[in-house]
Amino acid sequence: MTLPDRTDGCFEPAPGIAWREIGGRVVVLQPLTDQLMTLNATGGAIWKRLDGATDAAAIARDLAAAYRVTPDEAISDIRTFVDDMVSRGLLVRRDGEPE
Amino acid sequence: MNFRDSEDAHCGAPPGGLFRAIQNSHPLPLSVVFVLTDACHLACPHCYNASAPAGRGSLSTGAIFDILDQLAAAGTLHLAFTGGEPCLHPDFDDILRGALKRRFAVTVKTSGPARCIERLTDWRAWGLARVDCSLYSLSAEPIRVKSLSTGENAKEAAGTKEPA
Repeated sequence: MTLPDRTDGCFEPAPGIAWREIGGRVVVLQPLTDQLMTLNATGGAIWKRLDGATDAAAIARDLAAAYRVTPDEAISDIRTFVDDMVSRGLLVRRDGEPE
Repeated sequence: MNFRDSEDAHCGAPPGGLFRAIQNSHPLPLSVVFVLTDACHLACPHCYNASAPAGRGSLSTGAIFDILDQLAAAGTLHLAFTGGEPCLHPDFDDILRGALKRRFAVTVKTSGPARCIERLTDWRAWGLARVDCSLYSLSAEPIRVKSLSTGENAKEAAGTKEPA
């Protein structure tokens, strides 16, 4: 499978983004815009795996095994999700440099 | 595909509907004010925390990190660091980075000493979103305060009302 550049690589929450898992739902706070959102089960499952070290293909394999979908179906959802979250400033690509 | 259940704008006061809804359904300390130290370079007579340059000490950095871990586990999303002057804590940079690494949204409540202002660029790069700065006067004249027990006296202390 091939990913477009925008969603290729490893992503993580952008600096300053706060999030918690509350009542089984991932809650994300963007403090710069005062935006608070709750993710649904699919979004939360993807978000929790975006740790800056796991790329989209590995997450797709993981979700495909856990949710009985094909890797292609999973990666399509991941690509859409990452694209949306990057455009909102909630996710950034990990540059690979140590902190 | 839609990945969001709901969204709202909250963080300033008062909290929005989603913030309240989460608190109503899950009684968690979603927003916490954390007094890092009561040491302060100022000695305002109206200080609600009786802060002063000498201070009375503060928790160790290790103890603070332990509390941050507990708050993260409890579901806290927003931390406001205050004091005293929070930037006077000797390990403030480490504490701020530790809070941001634990995925808190952080506000620093400061009276704006130079050592704070000088660090703002780095703190912003780390992810600090908000700094609340108290400014009572543009001159070096002492602020006249009788009491903060009424709204009128609070206005006087804030410099928005001429003293009687």
